[in-house]
Amino acid sequence: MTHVLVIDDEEMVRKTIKMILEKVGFEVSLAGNGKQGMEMVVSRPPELIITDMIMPEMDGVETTMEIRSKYPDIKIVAISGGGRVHNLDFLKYAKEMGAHAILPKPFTKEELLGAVLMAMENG
Amino acid sequence: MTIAARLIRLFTKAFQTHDQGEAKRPAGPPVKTPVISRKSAAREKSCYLPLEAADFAHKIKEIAGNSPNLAAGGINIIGLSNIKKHFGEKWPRMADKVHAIIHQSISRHTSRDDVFTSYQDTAYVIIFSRLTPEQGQLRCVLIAEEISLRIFGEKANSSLIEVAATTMDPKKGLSISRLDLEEFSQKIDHGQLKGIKRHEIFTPSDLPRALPSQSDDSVEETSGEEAIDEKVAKFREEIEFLARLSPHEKKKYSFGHLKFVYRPMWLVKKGVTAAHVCIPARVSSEGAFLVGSAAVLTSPGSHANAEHDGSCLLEAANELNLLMSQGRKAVLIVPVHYVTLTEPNHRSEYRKITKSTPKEFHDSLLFELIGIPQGAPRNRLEEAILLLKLSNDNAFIRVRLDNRDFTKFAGLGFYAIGFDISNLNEPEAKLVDGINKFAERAEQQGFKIYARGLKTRSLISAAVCAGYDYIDGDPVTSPVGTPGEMAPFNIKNLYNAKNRHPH
Repeated sequence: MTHVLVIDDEEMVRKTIKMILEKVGFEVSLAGNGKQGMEMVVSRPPELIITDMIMPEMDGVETTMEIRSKYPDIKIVAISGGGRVHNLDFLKYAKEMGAHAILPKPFTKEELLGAVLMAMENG
Repeated sequence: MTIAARLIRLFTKAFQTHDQGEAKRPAGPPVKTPVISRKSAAREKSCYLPLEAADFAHKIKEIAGNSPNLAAGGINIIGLSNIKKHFGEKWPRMADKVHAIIHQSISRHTSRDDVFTSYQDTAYVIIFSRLTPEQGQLRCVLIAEEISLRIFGEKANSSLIEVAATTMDPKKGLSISRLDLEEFSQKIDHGQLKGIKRHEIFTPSDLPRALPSQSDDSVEETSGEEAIDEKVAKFREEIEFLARLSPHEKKKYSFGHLKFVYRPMWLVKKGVTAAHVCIPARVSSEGAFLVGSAAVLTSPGSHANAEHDGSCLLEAANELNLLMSQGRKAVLIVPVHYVTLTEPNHRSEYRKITKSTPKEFHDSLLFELIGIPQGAPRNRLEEAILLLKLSNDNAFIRVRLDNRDFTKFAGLGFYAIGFDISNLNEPEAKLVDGINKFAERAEQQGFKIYARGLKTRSLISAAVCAGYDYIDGDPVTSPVGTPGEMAPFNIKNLYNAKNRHPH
C-alpha cells in the first residue's frame, strides 16, 4: 500500500485529504507543519508527500527543498491557498524547487487525485 | 588579507608592547626617516606625534606601498599628545571619554569604505580609501575641529590637536607632514577652497555608479563651488550646534557608546530591499553585541527614550549627510517614542533636533512612532503624528501584534501601520495566526501594513501571503545593511542558499 504523508497546519484540510486518499487505497499519515513532517519522514519515509506552502515552523517551500535534497525518490505535491496574495508565487517556486505537481486551494476530490497521479507518474 | 586588516594587525599587534616615543626598530633593511615640513619643525618641541618613530613610518610605508590610493595621500593622522598634556593628571580618568568622542567624530566623517584605528594612546590613523590628498586633509581638519569643539569648546588649533597627512615623494618616498590647522581653517572660512574642483571635496570622482537612481546629470546640476561651501558650512553648523549646548543638554545628546546599524526592509510589492531601519547597537561591558531594544535603556515614560530618539535622529542625519555627499540616496526609518512627542520637555528638545536637520533630508528620513500606550487618546496621537509630519509626510505607526482597534487610527494621515515581534517569544503557529488577523483588521481600514522582526522564513512567507507591504527580519537580510543600496528581492531570494537557516 502506497504511503502518503500529508503536511498542513489546518486540521480540517489534513482530515479531508486523508479521507479522500484512504478511500482509494492509500495509507495516510498526518503532520501539522514542515518540521513535524521531516521528523516523520526520517522515521518512516513515505512514497508521496502532499505539503501546504504556508505553515509555521517550516514552510512548504523549505520542506520541498529539504525532501528533494535528502530524499530524491519521494514524490511531492505542493498545495496552497491559505493566503490572500502571492500563494501562487510560492506554488510556482515550489515547482521550481522540485515539487512534482502543484495544486491551488480550494480543490475538488478529482483535482487532488489528478495531482497525486501526476506526481506518481512524473517521479 | 584586506588593507584594513593588515593595518589593524600591524598597529594593534606590532605596537602593543612599545612605549610611546620609544618604538624599537624591527630588524631588517634601513628605514627612511620621515620628512617633516619646515613650517612644522618649529613646533616639534611643543607638539609630539609619533611621526619620528621610524618604525611607525616604516609601517605606514608598508601599508601604502602596494596601493596607489593610499600612497597618494589617503592616510591621515590625528595626534592626541597635546590633548593628553592638557588633561595632565586627569588623563587616566578622562581617556575613555575622550577616545569615545574621537571615535564618534571620526565615524561620523568616514564612510564604510574607510578605516581607522588608534595607535597606542597617542594618535588615530585614518585611511580614506577613495579621497584625494586634498579631500582627505580637509576631511581630517573637519574631524579635528569637531573633536576640539566637543572636548575644549573651541575651534581646533595646532596646540590642542595635531593633524598630519602622508605624501609620496618619488625620490624620498613616503613622508608625513603636519597640517597647519589655523591656515586650513581660515581657508574654509574665507571660501578659499574654491580652487578644488566641483564636488571633489565630498564626492570622490571614482565612486562607482552602483545605484540606478544616480546620474551624472543630477550631480552636475546640484554640485558647484557654492554647493561645496554650503556643505562645509552645514558641517560646521552642526558641530557648532553641539558645542553651544549646555553641559546638561550635551549630556542628553551624548551618544555614549551607542552605535546604530541599518537593516533594509523588503518592499514586497516592488520586489526590492530598501528603506533602512535604524537600529541601535552597543557592545556591552561584557563584550556582548546588543542590537535593538536590548542596546537601549528604555521603559515607558523614561527620559532615556527621549535621549535615545534624539541620538538616533542625529545619527541618521549624519549617515544621510555622508551618503548624500557621496551622491547616494537612502531612506532611513527612525524610531521615535510616543512619550518623546507628547511630553512637553521632551517634545521641545526633539523638535530642536528635527528643525536642525536640513530640509533636503526630509524625503529620506521616515519616522516610526513607537511605544504607543494602550488607550492612548486620539487627540494625542494626532498631535504626535502632526509633529512628525512637519519633517516628513510619511510616518509609520507601530502597535502591538494583537491590536484590535484600528478605527482610532483612521484619518490620522500616517503611511503604514505595523508591529515588531523581534522580542516576542510565542509559538510560531500563534504568531502566524496573529499576522493573519492583523492584516485582516488593518485591511478593513485600508491601511498599508508592515511587519518587523520576523525571525523565520515561515513567518515571512505567512506575512507575504497575508499581503504585508513591508517586511523586515533575519531571513531577508543581515542586521547590518548599507544604506543607500537598493537590491532586488523576491521570494526566490528568501530561500537562496546563502540565507538558508537550519530549521
